[in-house]
Amino acid sequence: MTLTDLTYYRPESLAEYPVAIQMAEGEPYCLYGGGSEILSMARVGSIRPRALIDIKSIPECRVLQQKDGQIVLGGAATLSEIAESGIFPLLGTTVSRIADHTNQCRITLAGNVCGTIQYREAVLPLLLSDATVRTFLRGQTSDRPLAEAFDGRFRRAPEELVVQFLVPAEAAGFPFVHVKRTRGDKIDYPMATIAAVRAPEGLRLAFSGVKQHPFRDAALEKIASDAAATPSARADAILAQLREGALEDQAARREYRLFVLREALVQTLTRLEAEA
Amino acid sequence: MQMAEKIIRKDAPDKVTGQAKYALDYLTQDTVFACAALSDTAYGSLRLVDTQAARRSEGVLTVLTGGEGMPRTGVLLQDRPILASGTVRYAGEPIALVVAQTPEQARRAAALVRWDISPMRPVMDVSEALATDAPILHPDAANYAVLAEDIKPVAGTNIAAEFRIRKGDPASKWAGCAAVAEERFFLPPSYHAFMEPRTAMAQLRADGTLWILASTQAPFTVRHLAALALDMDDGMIEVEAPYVGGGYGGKSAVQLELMAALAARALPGRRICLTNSREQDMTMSPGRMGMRAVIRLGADSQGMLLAGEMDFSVDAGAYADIAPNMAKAVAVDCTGPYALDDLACNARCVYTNHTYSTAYRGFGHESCTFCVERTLDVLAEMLGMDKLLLREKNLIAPGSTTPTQVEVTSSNMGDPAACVSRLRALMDWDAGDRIDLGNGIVRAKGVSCLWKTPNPSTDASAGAVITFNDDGSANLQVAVVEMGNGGITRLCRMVSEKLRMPYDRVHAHPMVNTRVMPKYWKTVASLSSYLAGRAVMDAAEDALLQLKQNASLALRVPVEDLEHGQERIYVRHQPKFCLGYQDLALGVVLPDGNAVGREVVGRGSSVMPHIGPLAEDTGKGKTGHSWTVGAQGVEVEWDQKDDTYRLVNAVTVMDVGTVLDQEETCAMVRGGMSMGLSLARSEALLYDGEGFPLTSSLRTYKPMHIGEEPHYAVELIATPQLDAPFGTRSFSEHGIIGMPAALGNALSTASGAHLNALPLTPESIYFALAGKENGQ
Repeated sequence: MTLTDLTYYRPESLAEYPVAIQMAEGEPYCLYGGGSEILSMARVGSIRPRALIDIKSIPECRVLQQKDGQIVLGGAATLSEIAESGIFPLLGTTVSRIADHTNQCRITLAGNVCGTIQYREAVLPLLLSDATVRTFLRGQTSDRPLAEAFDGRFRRAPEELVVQFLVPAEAAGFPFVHVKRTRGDKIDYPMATIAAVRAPEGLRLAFSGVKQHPFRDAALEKIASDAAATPSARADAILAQLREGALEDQAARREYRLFVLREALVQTLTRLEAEA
Repeated sequence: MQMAEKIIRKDAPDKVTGQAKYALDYLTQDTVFACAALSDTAYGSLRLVDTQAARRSEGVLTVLTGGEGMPRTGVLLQDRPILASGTVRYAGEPIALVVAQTPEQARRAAALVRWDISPMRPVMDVSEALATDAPILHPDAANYAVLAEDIKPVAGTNIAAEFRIRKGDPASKWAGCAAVAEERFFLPPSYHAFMEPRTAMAQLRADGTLWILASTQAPFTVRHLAALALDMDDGMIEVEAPYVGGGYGGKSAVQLELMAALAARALPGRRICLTNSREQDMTMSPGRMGMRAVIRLGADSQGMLLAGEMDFSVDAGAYADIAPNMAKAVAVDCTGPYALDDLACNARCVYTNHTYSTAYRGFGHESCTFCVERTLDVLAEMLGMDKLLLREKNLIAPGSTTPTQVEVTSSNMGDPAACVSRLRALMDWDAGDRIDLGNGIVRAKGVSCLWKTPNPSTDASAGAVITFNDDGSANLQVAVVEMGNGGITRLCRMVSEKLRMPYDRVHAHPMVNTRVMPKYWKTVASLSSYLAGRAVMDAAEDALLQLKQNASLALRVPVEDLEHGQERIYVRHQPKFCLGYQDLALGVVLPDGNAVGREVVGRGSSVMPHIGPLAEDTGKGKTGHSWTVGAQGVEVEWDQKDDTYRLVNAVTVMDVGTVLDQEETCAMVRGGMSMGLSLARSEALLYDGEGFPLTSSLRTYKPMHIGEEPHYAVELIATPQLDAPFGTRSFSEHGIIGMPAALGNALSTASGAHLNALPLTPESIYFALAGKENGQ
């Protein structure tokens, strides 16, 4: 199913955004960042939008800057822009393994975090750095902790715009490790992706591809931070917690995924140790 | 002998500049568009098809459905209704065909077609299909029309055809074997993954003729099957085949052409275009067969093979298409290029409920070679013998017979020993086939021999015509489709060599047209150089004679005194007495102004010599004119820690007979190697528990790409085949044949696991090592 008979709206400021929403009211619409999911899903017929609201001209959504001890990441910044800016190295590394270069130049940060495809790998560094998400709804901007808005999926009202992610500059500077295991290709959906940082209070770990949705888990972080145990022992303990919920799918059967995850965990923990 | 000049392929300028036109580029302003509605159920009774909403949809001209009157088609067994009728047998089977003014309108309307299917539990594996209580997918098989004598479905089963080889007495030899290896194998179905999805156009013209243009390797087969399906005379159908964007056997199947033809008949005068989206190409249209096999080989303590028992089940999918012949081809070449006098082989073609299959590069050999060559490695291990030495000792040699009891000669097979010997050197085999590099990385090498004889219809034939232009340049008409194989280029080379004229002055037309060109069986089986080549040489010979006859009249000498060279006919003993082709090819004008002689029209033809069906009980028979042999190897680096691996080297040594173009030949071989490695590494069409396809797009079906490839090395041996033009042999498809086996052997050597299933993913290695799976 191709996209035809579309109405295209392009608000050029936050103020214009609710106007576009109102004009599109009544028809199925999509917020249009990079458009890669729109194309894939329209092709298989799971969505049939009649309107697109292009948010890439809203200046606040395109920001990539450090200001007042915070790193401000516009929701419509592309993955390649983030990687090339070097503004948040762990995020840059993470997004460089999402999709090939052509698509990285289109896929947006909020698009990946709020996307339908379950991996949402760009969220991992944001979860690890206790990011704040700034959204715009009914003419009002408001901030809330990402951990409140994201429970594996980003919970928002249909017309709520994700404007920016705000990350404490300190957190963006933590020593980090990113490990991604795929079925074969360098660029592919993950069998297991681990993003990890060494924070002052201990290790933080975030996972994608292991369970149905990406997650961070305090209990696992406690195990990971136990310096008395070897990386292998810690990996085994973490695996014991994850065994039940681990995915079984086309990319990997459960047992193999866990095997790969264990090796990835050992590598992650060993490398983080070396970073200290 | 190698032809001197470096040439540019006839299709190269078009393709490099983007000017090449493929089927979908032949759209006209009056073209209308068809789109199929596909079944989402793998197996069930099709009770009702409701096209009302589709018919009312904007721009729709007609909607076709199956039912009682729907013709059944098939190239061997006519088992497949062109649109599903009565029973749906695979998810992806076309149920209805919508024709509308625009592609988008056709797609929208196709999505509005509704149906009622009572689902039945699908049969997704050959072992299920062969079980005694299996549902019979084609209960009416005994009544299907059969286009080949030796295809006999077995009543009350899901077996569409079976073949047997019985040579000597293997049962009596097992006891005397020092080692017996028995291994089980599983190869899932896969996809051809050509760049160009299939396309067909059709129009029923005012004069009653049916015109079809399609991305096909087999325009004359299209004509024949369309004639049968539409109850028309062959002569009332004209089929055109332009450049094809990759065929690999997948475009020798006839499907879209017949759907478009039905639509054309329903809308006389309208030019219908039907093209596959990638998803449709992967689910509706046929892919590569699957296979299950059990191979048993026994040898004495010296490594001499004493006995073999082989059982192959070809998983054809929902309809048989050409799969019965692939089962036969597997039986014919089941051993590989080895001498084995005591051999029993059963090969059968089995129905299951997934997308049906058709020919694929290697025609089953890439699959059976995997099974046999893996077993040879296991046997070598049991004997504690070098794996290449075991093969070398058993290579078939002139005087021995093949599984179907054809005696091999140097001419009809070439030199496998030379291939193996050169492979040993190129791979530095004697340095060891397994080396621990430290840090958990293991370097390992695996080998496989290959051979293949074609299995064409016994009446496969070729014709060729050569005409001339006023400037003395030549036009070659031969119905070889250009699909990247460079067939026409090779044939033009042959003409230029034979007529002693520059290659650039032998012209050919990229479009094959059945109305205009003599019949050529089909562009498959790597046979163009032989079958079409012999016809082309025959036509060149005939053209030469006519040129000489014209010259004889003008120069007033007998034909026997004439020679040709530098585009001239000259008197042998007085070379200055000569006339150029440009003065002879269209008749001769004498000094007094009279025209004598005639326009030169060179005619040539050829048939396959001495081939026929196999004897039912022993399989004795000759199905092809010759074998091509080779030896291949793969070197990998395998990581013990996570079972991932890297392809390092891939080597082929192949006896291609006389080499006409070193670079071109090596490129074709490398292309086959790449395809075989991709197939073995990562390709499989997967289905869920309900038989619904899971890998129906290139997002989830991932062929190998640049960066993953090994370093390729190809070396050619040149033992002439005496009955082939210039002594050449078939080679186009063969690069693929031993690659999956060589990779499987390398990884099995590296890991110690018996890797008997494709694809060879890190995950499959993990499970094999964990002992959980062993060819299951």
